[in-house]
Amino acid sequence: MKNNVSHLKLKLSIKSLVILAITTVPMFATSADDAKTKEVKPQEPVAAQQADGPSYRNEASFPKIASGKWTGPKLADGQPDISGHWSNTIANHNNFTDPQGGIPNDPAPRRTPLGKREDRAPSRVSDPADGQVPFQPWALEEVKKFQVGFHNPTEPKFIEPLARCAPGGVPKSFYWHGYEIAQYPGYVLFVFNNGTRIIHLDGKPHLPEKIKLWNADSRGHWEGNTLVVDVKNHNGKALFGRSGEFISENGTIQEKYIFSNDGKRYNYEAVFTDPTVYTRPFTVTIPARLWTYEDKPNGWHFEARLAKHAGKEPIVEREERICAENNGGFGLGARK
Amino acid sequence: MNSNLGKRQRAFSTLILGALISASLVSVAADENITPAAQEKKSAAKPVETTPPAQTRRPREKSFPKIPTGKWTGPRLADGQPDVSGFWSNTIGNHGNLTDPQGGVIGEARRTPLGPREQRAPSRVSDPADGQFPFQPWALAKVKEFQIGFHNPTYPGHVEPNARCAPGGVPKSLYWHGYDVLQYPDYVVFVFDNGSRIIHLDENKPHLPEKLKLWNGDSRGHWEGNTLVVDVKNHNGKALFGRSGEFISENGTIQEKYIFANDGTRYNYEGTFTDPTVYTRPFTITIPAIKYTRAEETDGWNLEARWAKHAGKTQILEHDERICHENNGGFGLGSAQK
Repeated sequence: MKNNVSHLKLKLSIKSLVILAITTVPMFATSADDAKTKEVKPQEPVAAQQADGPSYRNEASFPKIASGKWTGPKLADGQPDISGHWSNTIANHNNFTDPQGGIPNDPAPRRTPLGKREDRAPSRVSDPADGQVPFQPWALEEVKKFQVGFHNPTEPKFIEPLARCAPGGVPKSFYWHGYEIAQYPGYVLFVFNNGTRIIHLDGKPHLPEKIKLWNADSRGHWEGNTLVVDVKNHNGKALFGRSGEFISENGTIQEKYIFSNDGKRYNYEAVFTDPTVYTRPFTVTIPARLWTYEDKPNGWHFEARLAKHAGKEPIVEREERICAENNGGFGLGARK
Repeated sequence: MNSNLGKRQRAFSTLILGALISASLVSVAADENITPAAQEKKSAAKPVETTPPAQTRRPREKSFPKIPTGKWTGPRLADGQPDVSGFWSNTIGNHGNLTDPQGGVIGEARRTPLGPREQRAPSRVSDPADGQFPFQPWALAKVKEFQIGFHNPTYPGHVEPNARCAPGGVPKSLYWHGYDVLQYPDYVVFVFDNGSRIIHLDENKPHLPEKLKLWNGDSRGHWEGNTLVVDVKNHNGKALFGRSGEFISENGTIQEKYIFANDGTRYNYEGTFTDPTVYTRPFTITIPAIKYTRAEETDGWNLEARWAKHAGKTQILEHDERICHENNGGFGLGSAQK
């Protein structure tokens, strides 16, 4: 009897821990209505300098961008100048294969009917053609267990890593809040909401095999309008989203970031290879768009402000990372 | 039903283990009094390749000298501050137990008998004289609940905040791994293992607005001779003082004195905690600290640093990177890593 009571208590409590993931940072509406793309903003902006812009309406389709010459501006070191503030255009990390279809097994009722699959954005998996990750049976079973466990975690691995302020990993960081790309000679730097990823361009060899990292180890080079990156040394801890897909420590990713010559968009096309987890390589495609000082911040895709400074040129400044400060489920008498 | 529960218990023990392997750390469990060598063996995380072999840790002090406030006769920085920058660490124990710092985590089995209380370091609470926190009944009840729940969390508030890589808060960071003190004009910066704390010395800067609440609070200080005097507010109420579960609320304030010995080798922290939401009266916490100056003393806990490789000839002691997130466990569906 006593056990039953604790059991129930645990169920409830761990559910609140999952909710932490949702309140971790001001974020996109996560639940049933992804296709409607409501933006919610649980936190008041701190001393906001600009009014927040309207919700960004997620795309249900996006243009192909061809690899080819770069005709846009270049940096002094010869890199195409693609630095700035970027975000995905179709959805967040709720569902990898049906990005606008809501979290798998979400117990929360949908506010609007789901409608037809073809009215929603395609799977993040662009090859194979069925849009499914070609999992080995053991891995598919783990993912299915996660899709149940996520809603009522009974093991630490079912807890949303973001609830513990862990880095998003590859590729989740590309569809978890907007991010900044900064460029330096020899480096491209991604400043994500949780964690930072460095692409080394200088021909340095990969890290030793035994060093495994959330954002892995990236070595890249430019081919015209395309940043080509080889990714290894994943730690196997990251999940691709709330649908639980993952790559193991042995996996590699061949990434192409293909930038349109007007500098306003890029498509991420990456081949994931991992004989430990998958039966064959597959391709993930993620569309992204640029945000500039002319856009208003909107609490998810674009979390930046115009910097106060003496000069006249507009400087767009990313908001501070606040995952640890903003996170909940702590304390014995704390208000939140 | 029972077997399910057992599974959960194991699962959440694992989550707590995340805290233990968050960073290479001193033996946290029951046996604070075991030998330093044995403590090394228990260190859960494997050091990275470049870590110098861990040296025998300095033995934990059971008592420590009082340092009087007074004049500073040691070296000064260009801006007039006493030069106290460098690597520091507490001398008596970690955050296992606030009122009996060498007595082990409350509710954990011991391998060796504890022995008489007077053979161990005193309570972190130096006033009142009984060494106990003057909790209001509701808060004491919460703390007692935590001391049980910590070993098998059924509630997020009972999960060790370090397991989620949260900042330690005040005062826990001062006895959770060694830390780096940096000094700049108008600032003293504590670089802790999890999170940083800035003490603003600029008299013209007021405290943050009341509604901003932070893990490490908001600190405004000034130097009085050998003593850094700091006023701390704006706590977020989420931090715990240690594995014994004590805490201060969002309404609490702390008047801190960091009293440095004029030879620069030690300081004592004396902080008066005032919080009518949680406590029946103010109380004082005292934390002794010593300075580490040589990479050879790196021991995987009190000092985690190495001599920097650089072109010049001066020896530069460099703190290891923060690795809480990279080193943390309990993640992944097929991860070979812990």
